[in-house]
Amino acid sequence: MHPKRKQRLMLIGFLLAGFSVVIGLAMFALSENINLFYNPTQIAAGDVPSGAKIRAGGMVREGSVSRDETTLLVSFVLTDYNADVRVQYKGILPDLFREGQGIVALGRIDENGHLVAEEVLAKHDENYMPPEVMDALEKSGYSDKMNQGYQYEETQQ
Amino acid sequence: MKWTFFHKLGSPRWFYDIAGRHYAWLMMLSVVLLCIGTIWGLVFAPEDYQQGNSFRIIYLHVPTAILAQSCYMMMATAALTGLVWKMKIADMFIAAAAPLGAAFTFLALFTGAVWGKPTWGTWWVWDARLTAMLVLLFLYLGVMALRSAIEYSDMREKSTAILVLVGVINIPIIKYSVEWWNTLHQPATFTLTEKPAMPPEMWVPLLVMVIGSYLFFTSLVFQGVRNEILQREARKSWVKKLLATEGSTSD
Amino acid sequence: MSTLQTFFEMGGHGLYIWLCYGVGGIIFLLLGVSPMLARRRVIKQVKQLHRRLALASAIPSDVNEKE
Repeated sequence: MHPKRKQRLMLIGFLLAGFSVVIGLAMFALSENINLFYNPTQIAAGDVPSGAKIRAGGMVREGSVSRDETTLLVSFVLTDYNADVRVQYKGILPDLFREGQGIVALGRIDENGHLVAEEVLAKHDENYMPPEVMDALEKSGYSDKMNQGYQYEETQQ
Repeated sequence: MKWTFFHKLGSPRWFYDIAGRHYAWLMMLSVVLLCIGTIWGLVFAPEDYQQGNSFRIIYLHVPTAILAQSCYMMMATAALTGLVWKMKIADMFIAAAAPLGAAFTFLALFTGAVWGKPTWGTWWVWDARLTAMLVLLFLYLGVMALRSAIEYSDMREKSTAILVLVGVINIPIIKYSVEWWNTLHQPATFTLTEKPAMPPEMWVPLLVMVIGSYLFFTSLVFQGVRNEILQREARKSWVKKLLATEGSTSD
Repeated sequence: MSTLQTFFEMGGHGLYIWLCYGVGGIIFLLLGVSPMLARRRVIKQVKQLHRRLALASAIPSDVNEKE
């Protein structure tokens, strides 16, 4: 390669590397804020500003959903299989909301440590499947392996 | 290392001929694949056990999202070759690709929003993936705006290339955002290393759509670069001969 | 007829799906057509330039040729 071209390539390489390092450091410093939601573990540990509006993400614990027939009031337990947070919500839930589903709830933590949600969003994973296949899998007990991504990861902290 | 192919690529006249020979069949094949993929995805592919039929939006969402990022990588490669080797044709690639990238990014965001409403319960959420994708759209629009703001010159080529190269940092952020941070968006559907987490009757039509979109994009870039070449080489004798001997409708 | 109707309804998600594919189809169509239109425009422009260059000087138009 022509030495002048090599020089230009090096210069661009250095500039880009420097710029990536700056962006990388900024992102690293901000990483807690870039996260869309807190885990129940973080909420239980008190890492969450009290009274501030936050998002909490996790799985809806099976058997924890209780609905008030007359007022649309729903209460359920959000879990990452390490800690639990009870969520109270009044309103219409997304179609995908069900027990065992990953969800993200926006709201404030009240004095009892419960999350009073204003908005509940459903999360889903990249495991798309036809209904018949899912039925067969459920019968064979495979479905526990799905949605693993919502479990608390020690390495993230 | 042999650079002959590389230098040939830099010759606008050579590329004009090669692209002219291939854009038509590329376009035809891509239309066939896109039609097959769309019908396959909408009619024959099974619905998802959780999302039902709204899952079918994946057949438009994933190909456009992949293309939006690939298009940027192509532009970044062109920008680098343009800056280092002073290859005039590199800038033409950027000129041809930027509006395409903007269109694909817009479509990925739009289909994502429409898909998000019934599945997540919201059109938009400021999570890392969605925000980074929006930044990509603004990068494309920025490149286009920069080009239209400056008259054709060496300075325009350089400043465009630098903007494109700086923006390339956004691509790994888009790709890994779903792994580095908590997002509402799910992890990638297709990766090069792993089997997709869905059965073949779901991912085969998706693959058809992705390949069809790539061919579509390639054909459009070929045609766009040809138009740029004609414009910029207008005073060259080969262009004069070409247009003198051939009618305006034929090649 | 009823099977066609259920197909278009898409289990209640019809609006979302057809909105996506409608907008997608329009954009793909516009993308596919635009380079052909652009080519016509460019050829017209360049031919005009050639005519102007030929008129502007009695000198053969290849004079500003570099290749």
